[in-house]
Amino acid sequence: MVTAPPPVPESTTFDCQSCGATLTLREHERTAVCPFCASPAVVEKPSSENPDPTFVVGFVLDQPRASQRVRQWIKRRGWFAHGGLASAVVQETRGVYLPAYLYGAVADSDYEAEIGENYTTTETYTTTDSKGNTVVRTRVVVKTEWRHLAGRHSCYLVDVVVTASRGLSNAELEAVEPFDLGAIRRYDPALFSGWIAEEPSIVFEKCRELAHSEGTESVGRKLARFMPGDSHRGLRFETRVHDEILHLVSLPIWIFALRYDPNKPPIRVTVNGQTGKVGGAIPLSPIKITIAVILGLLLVLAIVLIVRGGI
Amino acid sequence: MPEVVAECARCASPIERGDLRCAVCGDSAPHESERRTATEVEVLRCDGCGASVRYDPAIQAPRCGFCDSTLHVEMVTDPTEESELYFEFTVDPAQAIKAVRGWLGRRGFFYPSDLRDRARMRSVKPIYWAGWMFDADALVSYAADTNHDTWRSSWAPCAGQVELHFDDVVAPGTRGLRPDETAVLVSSYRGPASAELRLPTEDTLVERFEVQRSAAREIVRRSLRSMASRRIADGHLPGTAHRSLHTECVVRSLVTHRVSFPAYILAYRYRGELYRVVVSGQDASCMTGAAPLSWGKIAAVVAGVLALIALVFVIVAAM
Repeated sequence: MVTAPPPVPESTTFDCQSCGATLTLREHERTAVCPFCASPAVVEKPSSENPDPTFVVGFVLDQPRASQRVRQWIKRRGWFAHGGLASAVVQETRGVYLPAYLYGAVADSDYEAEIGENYTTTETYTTTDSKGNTVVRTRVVVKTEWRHLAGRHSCYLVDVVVTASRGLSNAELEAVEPFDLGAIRRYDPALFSGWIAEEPSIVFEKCRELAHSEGTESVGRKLARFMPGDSHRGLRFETRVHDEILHLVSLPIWIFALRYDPNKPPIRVTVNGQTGKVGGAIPLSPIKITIAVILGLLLVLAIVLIVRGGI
Repeated sequence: MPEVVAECARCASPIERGDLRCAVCGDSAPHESERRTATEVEVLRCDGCGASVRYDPAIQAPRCGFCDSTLHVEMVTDPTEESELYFEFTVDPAQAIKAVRGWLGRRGFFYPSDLRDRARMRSVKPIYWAGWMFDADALVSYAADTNHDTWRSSWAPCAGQVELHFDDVVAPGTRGLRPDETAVLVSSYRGPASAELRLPTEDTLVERFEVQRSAAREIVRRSLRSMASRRIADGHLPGTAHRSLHTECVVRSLVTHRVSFPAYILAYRYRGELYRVVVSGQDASCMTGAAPLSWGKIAAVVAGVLALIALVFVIVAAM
């Protein structure tokens, strides 16, 4: 049974339990560290306002190991990457527990497709032999006959993960997926202690739609593998989902802000805090691309000149 | 023995202690969460020294930075499997040896005539081999090519969906026996299985499950998919031949038991070579094993056939 949690409240202030200083909790965050005594606090809001995550995937990589993964990632960026990346300065690093939804459902799909079944046949053709005579020969050719197939396919959709944070898009989250959900933990405030933990900032219904759409896409891929025959074409399907579940899960993400050019805004690189997988958009070097295009054109021109010269 | 603590509300499969999610459909295990009515600010403190505690990725647990003590948090436990049921030995070692001698005597023409008399039994080892028995209901979708209703190609596609019930299906978890050996033995165990382990002899080897629960569940899932494919191929596809069979299962009420199955491993020596036979501990007529071929007889038959062909050739040439 899927129920929508209520909207997220505004930012709050509270007193540090250790030194009494007044702290402001930023919107969509549930943890804070006192700047005066460094005590880590976890703020638990009323369940009616914002439910706790059901599960948490704990951080496995600490900051130095995550930085190392980013450095390795920069080294592998290839020739067209912006030259400034090699000496990029890390402007900010944050280890964040990102809110996401873990979606599951049973998907029933009615599908139809044209299935290609190959067969061989012998055909006669006319050709010219080495002496210039016209001759009739036979050859074996493979042909395909198309048969219509319709049916119903049912499957579980399990472990579809979608972001619930406006701070990190679903595409950015997908770039560092998958997470090892075998190491999932039941939510405990102690897992957030000393770390930034975000509250969901995307409305529940939108997350559900996103998860549903991702789930349906995965059904399409499953159906493509499910088809018999030597090939298939025109696969169409209509999917209905039921027995949906959505569990709020907090995922460990390292976020790095890298400045590779003093005149450009820093780029954001994300690292899966559990597996170390790195994701981010690579800035390309316009100069290198231009040089490559000019070299390519010169090569084509040289070939044309050689061919025309009759060499 | 794993303790079933709840039933999954979604697929009715048992949830065992240590599971945070249903192993079949991924739903959350039932959990009583605290209902808060007001905002609470909590600084987690170490029980030992009172210092604040932070989550440490190095040990993947909350740790006190001053006295190094750690806080327990609930996480998935993945214990090594242990047997909960044992089929009793109803065949004794003497009956097993007698059955193997009879089996050696019935091997057929291409085996040595003196195999039964000259085979020397070297050892008879009673063992309990490990496996899982499961019951489940599954909605199975399938698609395949069959030779029914074909046009120019030898194959035509077909598809369907059927509800199947699986009852006491065995998924072997043994490393001591080969899959082809367990495949022969599984049909011989008719129970009843009991929670009490009774060893027929003191030297009985009780094989331990050498996989963790998560790996065991993967083996059971593979076994269920493979069994579903066999059932579809045997009873639901038209025609007499098929290829490219694809199945997808929506499993419900998957109940798994860790079971130890009784068997004897017999080793016999024939003309210096050692051979192995495995006999069910519940049915002496159910066995599988290796036996030497009589190469002299095989050579004689081949020579006879060649001579016959030559004779026919000569007769035809003379006509």
